[in-house]
Amino acid sequence: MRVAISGCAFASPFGSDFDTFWQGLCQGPMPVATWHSEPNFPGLGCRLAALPGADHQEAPGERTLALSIDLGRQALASAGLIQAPRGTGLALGSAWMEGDILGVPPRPPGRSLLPAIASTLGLTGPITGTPIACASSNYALAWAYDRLRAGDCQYMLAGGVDVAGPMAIGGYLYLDVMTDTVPRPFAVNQDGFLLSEGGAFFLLEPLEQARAAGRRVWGEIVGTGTGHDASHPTRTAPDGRGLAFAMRRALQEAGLSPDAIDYLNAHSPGTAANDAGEAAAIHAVFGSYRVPVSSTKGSHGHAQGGANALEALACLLALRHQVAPPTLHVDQVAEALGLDVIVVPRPMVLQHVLSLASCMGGANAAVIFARGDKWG
Amino acid sequence: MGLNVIRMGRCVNEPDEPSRIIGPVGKQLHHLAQDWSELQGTGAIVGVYHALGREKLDVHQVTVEQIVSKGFDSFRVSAMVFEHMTYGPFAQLAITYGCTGPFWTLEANELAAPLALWTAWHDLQKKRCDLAIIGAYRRKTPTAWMLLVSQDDTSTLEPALIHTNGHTHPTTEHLHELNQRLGGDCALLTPTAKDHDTNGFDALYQSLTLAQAGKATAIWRCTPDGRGTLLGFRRRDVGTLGAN
Repeated sequence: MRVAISGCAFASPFGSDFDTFWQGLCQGPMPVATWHSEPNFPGLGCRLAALPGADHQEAPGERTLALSIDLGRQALASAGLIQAPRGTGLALGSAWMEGDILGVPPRPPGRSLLPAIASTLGLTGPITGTPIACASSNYALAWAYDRLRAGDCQYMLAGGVDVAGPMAIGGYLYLDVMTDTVPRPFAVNQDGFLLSEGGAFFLLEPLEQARAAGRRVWGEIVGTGTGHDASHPTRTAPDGRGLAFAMRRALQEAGLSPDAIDYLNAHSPGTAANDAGEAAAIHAVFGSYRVPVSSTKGSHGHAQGGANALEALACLLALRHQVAPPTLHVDQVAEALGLDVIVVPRPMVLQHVLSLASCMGGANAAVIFARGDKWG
Repeated sequence: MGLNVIRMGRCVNEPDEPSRIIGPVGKQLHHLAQDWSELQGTGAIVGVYHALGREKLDVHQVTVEQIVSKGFDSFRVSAMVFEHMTYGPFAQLAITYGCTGPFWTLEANELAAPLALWTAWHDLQKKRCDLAIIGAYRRKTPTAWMLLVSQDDTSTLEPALIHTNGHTHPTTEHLHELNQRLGGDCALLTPTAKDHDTNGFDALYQSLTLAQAGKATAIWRCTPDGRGTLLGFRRRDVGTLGAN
């Protein structure tokens, strides 16, 4: 069974308009603000690509809930659906969801957001969260794809969102993984990622069902794979074994050879520890074929659990425009990585694109997208 | 080809394990896994399927309390991942035992165990891994559950899963559909160890044990908001294959 993406909605630091988002991916500039948590956590602050109009005095969990419900509704509406069809499932990739805090003393653990989202949207199919840190949204897409392929349901809402909160920011500051300037994935002078907010929701359904209903198809998911590094708590395995395993499984699922991948949207947030392992994984899978690679986290930043969802959208828009988006802010590519890193928008024939995700703890997920017919 | 249940285990005490294993839950998972010879360098591709429920909030609460009382600098990096991220104990398990196959954390409250098993079964059928660890933990009074399964031709145990969302009990239609998928009637188990059940694991163990002994059974799990899952198992004798 072929799985279509027949609905989509998103929120990003560039806003929620597709053309504006695409322009931001290709040209920037990244809208950056300064986040601070005074008076509850004195001194805790960072540069942040926030959502337009974000109210950071509101609890992160409540912002995530409101955003998820809104994006879920919009994704359904974009497919011409006023409400979720009976039996629609949900796969939600959010790293933090209700897990972050605002205020001292901290609030006691609140409600679980997953059932709140499901009940508000009237979702009655298979429902799960995939809170696997920075790979959450790719995991959500993979689980949704599997549920449709297994015949467990006929519709799945899948994606993820995250917003910024004190716990996430404090943790990343402690790990010293954030830049003070701009993110430069795959560059010689990269020095960390820029935290951001946002995410996307997609409506997935069998391709034939979407066509029979007259819905335009934004793209197809043709293969997914997950794998674990089994290596280190915070660093990508030097040989990229988990990512390579995930990519091979996704290619196998799609029935594609590596050279059928026209463009690869990398995980790279802008840390050297990631890039060496990710490059090793790409070489292990693609061999002598130099697949064009970019990381759009250089433009939209690292939206944590929502990052892969924004990257999935970047892949769909790349397929639409037949242009591979660049890695922004890269003056000099780290040649030692041996990758064909795209640094300016590259017009090309795109039929299949691959999106990668990795996270702390060693989990990895790969998703392959194929071109749809929405834009002719 | 059926589901082969290789190991089942539950750890309720904090074992005295090597200090390199972080946190009480990590020690419990290690305690269960260390005697499972199938995980000891056999070359099998092992997938990990973590069933996550309300203990997620307990993990966050412990983390928040530490941040507020001792600050972010009180964390050790490895502990930050292994103890304070919900999937951390299973990531530690994957690293310790070289589990390089699929890795999942599936948050579904009371339904997490059935959905984790169902996801693992799907991956085994797709040959994405040779073995699957399915597990859960409780944080406040540390307890860990683990199950090791494979898909192979020595087993004729078949699972089937039905979503019953929006119902306070499985309906006769749900049970009929389940029986149809399993190719025969199965008995619905009434949970007997609810107080000790994390995300449905005790009931799952009971159902699997009975089904392996030849008694087809099903468990039904539901959440307060009305989500429900009916998971059944039936062993088919080789002589009856094709007859159902």
